Amino acid sequence: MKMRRLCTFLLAVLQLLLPLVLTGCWDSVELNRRAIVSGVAIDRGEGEKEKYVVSFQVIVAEEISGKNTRGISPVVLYTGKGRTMFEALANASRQTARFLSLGHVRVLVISEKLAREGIKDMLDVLERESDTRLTSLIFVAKGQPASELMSTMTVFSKIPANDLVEKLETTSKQFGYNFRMEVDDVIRGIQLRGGGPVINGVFTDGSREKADSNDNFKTIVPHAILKVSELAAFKDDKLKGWIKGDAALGTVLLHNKIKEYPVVISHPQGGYIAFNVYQSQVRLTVAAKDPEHPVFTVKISQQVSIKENANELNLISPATVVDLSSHVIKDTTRKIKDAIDTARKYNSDYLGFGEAMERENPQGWKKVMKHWEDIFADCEYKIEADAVIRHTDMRSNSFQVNP
Amino acid sequence: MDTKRRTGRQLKSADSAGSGSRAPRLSEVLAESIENIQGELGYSPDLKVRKVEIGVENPVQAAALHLSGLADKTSVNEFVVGSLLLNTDGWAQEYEDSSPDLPALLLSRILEVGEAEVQEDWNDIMLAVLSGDTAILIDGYTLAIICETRGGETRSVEESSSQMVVRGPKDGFVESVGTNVSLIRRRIRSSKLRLEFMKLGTETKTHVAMMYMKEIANEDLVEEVRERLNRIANEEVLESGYLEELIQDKTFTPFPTIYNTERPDVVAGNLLEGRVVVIVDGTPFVLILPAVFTQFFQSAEDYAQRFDIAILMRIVRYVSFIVLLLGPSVYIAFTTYHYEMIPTTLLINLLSQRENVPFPAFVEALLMEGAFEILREAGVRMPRAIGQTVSVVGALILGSAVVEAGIITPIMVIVIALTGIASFAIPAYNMAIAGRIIRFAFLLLAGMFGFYGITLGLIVLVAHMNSLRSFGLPYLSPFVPLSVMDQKDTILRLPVWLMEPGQSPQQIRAEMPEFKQVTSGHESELAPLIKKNENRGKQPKGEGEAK
Amino acid sequence: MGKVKIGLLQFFTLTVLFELGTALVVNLGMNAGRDAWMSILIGCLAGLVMFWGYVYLYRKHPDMPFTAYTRKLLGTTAGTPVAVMYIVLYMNLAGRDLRDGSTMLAMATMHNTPLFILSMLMILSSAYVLHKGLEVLTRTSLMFTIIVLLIGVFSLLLLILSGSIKLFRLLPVLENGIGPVMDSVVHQNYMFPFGEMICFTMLMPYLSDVKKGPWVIAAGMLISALLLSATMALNISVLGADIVERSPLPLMPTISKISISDFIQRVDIFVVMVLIIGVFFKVSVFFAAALIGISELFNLPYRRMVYPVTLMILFTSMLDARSFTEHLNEGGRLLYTVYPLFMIVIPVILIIVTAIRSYFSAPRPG
Repeated sequence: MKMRRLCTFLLAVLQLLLPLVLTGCWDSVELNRRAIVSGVAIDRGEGEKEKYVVSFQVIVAEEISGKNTRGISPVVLYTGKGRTMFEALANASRQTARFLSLGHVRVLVISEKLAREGIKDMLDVLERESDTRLTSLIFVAKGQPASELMSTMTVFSKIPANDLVEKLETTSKQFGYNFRMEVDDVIRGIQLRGGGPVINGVFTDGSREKADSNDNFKTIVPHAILKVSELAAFKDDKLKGWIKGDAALGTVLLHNKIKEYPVVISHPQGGYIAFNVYQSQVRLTVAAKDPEHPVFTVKISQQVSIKENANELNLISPATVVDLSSHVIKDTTRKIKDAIDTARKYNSDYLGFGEAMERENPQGWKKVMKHWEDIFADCEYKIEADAVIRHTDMRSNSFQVNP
Repeated sequence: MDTKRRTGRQLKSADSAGSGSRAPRLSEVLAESIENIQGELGYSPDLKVRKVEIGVENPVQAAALHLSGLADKTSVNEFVVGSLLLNTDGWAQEYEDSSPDLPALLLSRILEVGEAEVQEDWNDIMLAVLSGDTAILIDGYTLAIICETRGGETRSVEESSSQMVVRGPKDGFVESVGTNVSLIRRRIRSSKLRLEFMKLGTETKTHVAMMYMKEIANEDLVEEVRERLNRIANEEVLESGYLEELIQDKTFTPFPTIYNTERPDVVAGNLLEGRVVVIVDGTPFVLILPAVFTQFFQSAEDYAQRFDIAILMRIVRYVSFIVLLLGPSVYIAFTTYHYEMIPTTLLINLLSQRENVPFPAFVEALLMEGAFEILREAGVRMPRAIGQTVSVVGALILGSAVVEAGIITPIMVIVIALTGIASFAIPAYNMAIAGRIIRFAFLLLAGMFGFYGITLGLIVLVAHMNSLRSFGLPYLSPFVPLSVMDQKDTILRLPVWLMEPGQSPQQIRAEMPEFKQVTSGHESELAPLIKKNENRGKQPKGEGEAK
Repeated sequence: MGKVKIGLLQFFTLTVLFELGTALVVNLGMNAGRDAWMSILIGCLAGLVMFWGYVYLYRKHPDMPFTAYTRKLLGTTAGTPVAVMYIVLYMNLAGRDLRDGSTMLAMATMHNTPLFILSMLMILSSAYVLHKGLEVLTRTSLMFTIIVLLIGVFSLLLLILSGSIKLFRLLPVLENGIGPVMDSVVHQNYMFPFGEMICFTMLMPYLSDVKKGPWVIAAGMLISALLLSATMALNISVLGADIVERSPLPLMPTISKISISDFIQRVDIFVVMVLIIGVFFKVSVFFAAALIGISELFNLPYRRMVYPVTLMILFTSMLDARSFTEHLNEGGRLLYTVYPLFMIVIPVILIIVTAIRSYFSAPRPG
C-alpha cells in the first residue's frame, strides 16, 4: 500500500520534472534578439537568380523611444536577394544581428516593374507564413524602385512605414481616392475571373538626393515627400495601368469603400461650388437571364453637404438645392462611367461585375466565365444615382460685395 | 496511519496506563494528596495550596489548590476560600447533626462559585487544576471538589488586525475560547445554536469548541466534523492551524479548504448559512468549514455596503486573483512568444527598454518575484515602525535603483508591482498565498511554452480545483456543479431581501404610503410639497390604500 | 468508478467541447465549398440519427458501457475481440487527435518545439485530469465551455467592429446543387465530428438521468453543430471560400483579420487557446473511453492503467505518420472506410440483436 503510494508520487514528480529537464525554450525569443520589420519593399532584380530584391525596413527602437539615443536613423534598411521571397529573407538576415521578425509588417511595397511581371508568386509566402499578418497594406511603387519608398525619411512618424499607413488612412478618409488594400484582399482580387485587384500607388515627390537622412526635413519644405496617389489596375496578377483622377474615385465608389470625398462643379451661373460627400452607398445589381448579355445596374445614394459657394445662389430655396444636387448626381454618374471605361480600357473586370453575375446566376456564370472579358467589354449598364444635399453648413447664402 | 486511527477512547486508556507506573492517587490523608499533586506538577511554585479548617467542634482539614495566574484571584479568594472560612459557624452544626457527607454539603450549601462539581478521577482533577480551576481536597475523602475559577490575564476584545473593514463591527476574537463563544452567542440569540466542547491534544489538552446551528447545519456534516475532531491524537494543538491540517480533506494542494477568521460577525453569518465552526483555545483564529473557493473572496464588508458596490468589489477581487496568477506569465508569454500581438508602438517601447538589460525576461521576472517575496516576508515580521522602512526601501529605493541601473526593465517592475498589489486585494490571506505559489508554476510554464503552457496549466489548475472537496462539498461549487439558485452570494451579492425570501423593501415601505407618494410626486418645488403633505396628513385615509 | 454519477449540465458541456474540439479550428466540410456550413448541419442530423441508435442500446443497458453489452449480446467469444477492437479504436482516435492538435500548434505558433514535447505535455495533462477521475474531467469542461464561448463572442464582436465580415461572400448558395454538400457529408461530416459520439457509449453509464440524459447530449450535439456551422460561415464571409479551403486552420487567419485602430491586433492567440482546449477535451474523452473499456474488460483498476495508456496514445500519435499531409490523408481514408464499420455497422448489428432478443423475451416473460 505504502509502496504504491510512493510509486504514484514518484511518477507524479517525474511527470513534472521530465519536461523541465528535457525542454530548452525552443520558441522563446527575447525581445532584444528581435529586429522588428515595419515595412517591406519588393523589387525586381536582374535575372532569374536574383528575381526578388527584398528590402526590410527595421525599427531601431532605442532611437525612437530610448533614453540614450545616438542620433542615428530611426530605421535601417536591409536588402536581400534571391529566387524566392524566403531566400531573399535568408539572404538579408546575413546582414542583421538579430532575427528579422515579420510580425509587425504594416506595409508591403511592390515595384511597378515586378507588378507588371506578376505578383502571384511572391504573395504565397505572405499568406503561408504564420508570422506575417494578413492586415499588412499593399502598395505599388509608381515608376520607381520600391526600396526608395522604404528609405525616405518622414516628418510625422519616425518610422516611414507607419507614415505611409497614416497617409493612406488620411487620404481614404478625407478625399476618397484610395482605400485599404490588405494581403487577403489582393489574393481574392487576383482570383477574380477576368479581373484583378486594385492596389494603391505610392511614389516620392521631389529630389531623391537627401531623402534617406534627417536632412530630408531640415528645411521647411521637405526634399522628398511620400505621396499616396492613383490606383494600380491589375489583370489577374499583372499590373495593366494606372487609374487616375475621376476614374479612380469612381473605382473606389464602385468598391463601396468610400468614406468622404469632395466634389467640385462649375455652375452654369458662373463660379465653382464645392461639396462634401459624406455618405455614399453603392449597390450593384444585374439582370442576367441571358448570361451572354447581362445588364448591370449601379445604384448610388449619396448624402452631401455644401462646403464652398461664393456665388449668388439662393440657397434658402429648396428648388435651388435640388438643382444643385442634380449637378452632384451628374458628377457621380460621370465618375462611375469613367471608372467603367477605364476598366474596359485595361480589359480587366477589377470592379467585381463578374462576381455580381456569379451571385445572380451561378450556372450562367459558368458558361461565360471563360470569355468574361469580352462580355464585360461591351455589356450594358445603367447608373441610377441619387444625391441629397442635407445641409449647407454654417451659412445659407454667401456674402456678397455691396449687396 | 495507525496513530491517526486511534480514537478518543483508546487515547484515555493509554494515558491512564502511562501514569499508572507512578500511580499517584488521591489519598484519604490530605497531606498525602497534596504531596501527590505537587509531585505530579514537579513542585511547581505557582501551585498555590491554601489549607483551611472546616468546622469548629470537629474541624476537618481541607485545602484549596489552584495555579496562580490561571485562576481568577478574586473568585478564589472570595468565593472559594472565603466561603469555606466564613460560614463555618452556621453549617458546622448542621454537619454534625445530619449526614457526614461533607462534599455534598459543601456543594449544596457553602460554596459560592457558579460552577462546582465533585471529581474523583485523578486525570480530570489534574486537568481542571491545569485549566485554572480550584480543587478543594478534604481530609478523609478520596475526591476533590472542582470549582470553576478560570480567569487570569487575557487580551481584551479588540479590532481584528488581519481582517479590517471600513464599515462593520469592529470586535475581534481573542485567545480565550469562552470569550469567543460569548461573542458569537451575543450575535445569535437562538436556541438552535449548539455548542460542543472537547479537549484535543494529548499533552496540551486544548479546549476546542464546535458550534453549529441545529436544523440549519447538515446533520451528516456535523457528525463528520465531530468524528474527524475526535480522531485527532496529536500531542499538541496550539493553534487552529494544527486542526486545519489534520481535518482538511486534502493536504497536497495549495488551496485552503477551511476558512479561518478573526471576526465574530463572519462566524455568525456562516453559522446561519449552516456551516460548522471550530474554536480553539489559545488563538483568535476560528475555523469555518466547509469552505469553498468563492468564500475566500467574500469580505465582511460586502454585507455592510450597498449591494452594487459589493458586487463591484468582488469582481475586483476575482480579477486581482487572475492578475496575481497570470500577470507575469502572460507578460513573459507575450514578449518572448507572441510579440506580434503587442501593439507596434508599445512593442517599440518595450524593445527600447529591453535593449541593455542583461537578463532574459523570464529570469528577470523570477528575480523580481523573488525579491518581492523577500520584501514582503521581511515587512511582515518586522515591528510596525521598521516594517514601513522596509517597504519604503524595498518598493521605492530598490525598485527605482534596479531600473536606474538598467538591470530590470521598468515594465517588469510595473508588472511585478501590479501582481504584488493584486495579492493584497484578496481578502483571505491563505488564498493569496495559494495564488502566489501557483504564480511561479505559471511563470515556468509561460517561460517554456508560452500560451500553450499557460492554457494547459489553466486546464490542470481548474481540474485540480474540481477534484478538491471540503467536507464533501465540491470546491468550486456553486459554479461547478452549476447551481443557479446558489449564485446569490458568489460573484454577485444580491440585495439582502433577495437572498432571503419572504421579505422585500416594498413590503417594508408599504407601511408608509404618504412618504411614498411625496417622493414619487412630480412637483419640483419642495415647499408646496411639504404643505401638501401636511394637508394629506389630515385626511390620511384613501389614497395610500388605493395604491 | 462504478458509482460516480455525473450531472446533465456537465455532460452537456463535455459534449459541446468534444464536438467543437478540433473541428472548430479546421476547415470542416470544405468539400462543399461555400456551403460548408450546410454540410455541417446535415452531418449533424445524420450524426443525431446514429446517436439515437447508440441511445437505444444505452437505454436497454443503462448500467453498462459499450464493451460490456457487446459481450453480453454477442457472447464472450465474439464479443471480447469486438470490445478489444473498440478500445484500440478509441486509443487510435485519441492518438490521431493528439497528433492533429500538436501539429496544428506547431504550425500556428510553436515552430521549433519538438512535436513529441508538445504531445507529451498535452497527454500528461490529460492523464493527470483522468487520474483525478472522469467526474473531474466533466466538471472542468463546464468552466472551459464558458471560456470558449466567451472567446467566441469576443472575437465575433471584434470582427464586426473591424468590419471584416462580408456576408455576400457566402453567396451564391448551392451553386452546384446539393451534390457537393452531400458528398462532403458522406465523406466527412457525419463521421467527423458527429460519428465520434460513439465513444459516449462508454461514458453514458455515468449519466445521472437515464431518461433526460440522451436528450441533453443530443442538444449538446445540435448546439455545437450550430456553432461549428456559424464558425465556418464566419470564416468564409471573412476570408472567402477559396482561402478557407486552402487553410488547414482557417479560424486563425479569420481572427487575425481583427484590427481595431492598431491596438487590438493579431488576437489569433485566442484561437490557439481554443484549439488547445478543444484538443485537450477531445483527447481526454477518447482516453477516458479507452480506460473505461480496459478497466471493464480486463477488470483492472482504472487508475493503474492511466499511465500505460498515456504512453500508448503518445506513441500512437508519434508513429502515426511522417508528415501532417500523410496524417490527414490517412485520416480522410479511415473516415469513410474503417470508422463506419465501428460507428454504424457494429452498433446496427447490436441493435438488431437487442431488438430480436427483447422481441422474443418480452411476450414470454417465463
